[in-house]
Amino acid sequence: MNAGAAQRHNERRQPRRVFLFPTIVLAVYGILLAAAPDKALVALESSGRVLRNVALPLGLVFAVMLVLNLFVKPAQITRFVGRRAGIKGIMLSAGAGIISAGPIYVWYPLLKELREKGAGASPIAVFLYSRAVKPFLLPIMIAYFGWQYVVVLTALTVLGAVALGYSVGLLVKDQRG
Amino acid sequence: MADAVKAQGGRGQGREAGPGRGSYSLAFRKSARQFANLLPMLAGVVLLIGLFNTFVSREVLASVFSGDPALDTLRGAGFGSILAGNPINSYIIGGELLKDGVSLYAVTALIVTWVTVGLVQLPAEIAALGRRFGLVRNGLCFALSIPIAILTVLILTLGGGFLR
Repeated sequence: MNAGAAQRHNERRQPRRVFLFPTIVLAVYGILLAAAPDKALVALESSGRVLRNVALPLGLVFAVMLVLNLFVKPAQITRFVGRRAGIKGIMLSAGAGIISAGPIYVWYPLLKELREKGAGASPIAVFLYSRAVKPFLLPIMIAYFGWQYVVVLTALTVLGAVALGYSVGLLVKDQRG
Repeated sequence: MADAVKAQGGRGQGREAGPGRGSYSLAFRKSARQFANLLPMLAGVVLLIGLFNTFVSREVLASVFSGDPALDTLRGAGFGSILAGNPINSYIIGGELLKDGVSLYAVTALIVTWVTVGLVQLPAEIAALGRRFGLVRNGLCFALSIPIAILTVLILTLGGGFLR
């Protein structure tokens, strides 16, 4: 099966897979509603708050995807964050991860698209790990743990991102790039 | 755009003025379709986070740590991997756990895995980036949190600074 046929095959199978996980979660809510309706409502309210918090980052991610689909071609993605992008790709991914906002899962649609356009597993892993460095939250972290702790942990996190990117690059095969 | 055309081996030369209205519409529909494909997964993740927020309180977390630094570090990494939400919550919980006498190793492992490992989001990550990528990345991030926690505390101790 060639790559195009494999992708079409996966896309046909995807709808069933995509609905399996939310269906299981909804079933848990169904059971909870019957057993402890108060708790179920509290959980739903909490989910509503989470949804409100992620609405803006989701909109941002959609806008970035739109720009990518309009202006960026797979060859460019491969050049900047492909498998052979080297240290430049790692630095670019780490920087993007550090400044990215919102929860990790709102970035999955964009990362999926980048992966399909030729981005390597390694830069994507670096991006996801670098998100542990939150420049806007550093003052809060310093207030809780002190600046020495924050400096050491931040430096080790960035080094960890590079180590992780290298390891993921070795263990996960890239289709192209 | 010119770069994009060059990157495609020069195809489309002479038509480099930028995307037309049709391209915008096509790009919008493509983005919307890509986005919609993952929305059910994201909805599942959001609902699951609501369940965790309701059933796993700070008190429940604090009660699990035993005082053994090695085991507590693993437990901290484990809880950080399961729990999800704003990283500020991990700082608050970490600060409270420190006050309760939990080791800085454990708290650091919790803070690191809170953002880098996502068991709740794993189904969505697998759907987006593949099973092997999701499992390898999360497994390695969990493993990496332990040396990062140990090194952080060791460096601070050797540097003569910090709380405990």
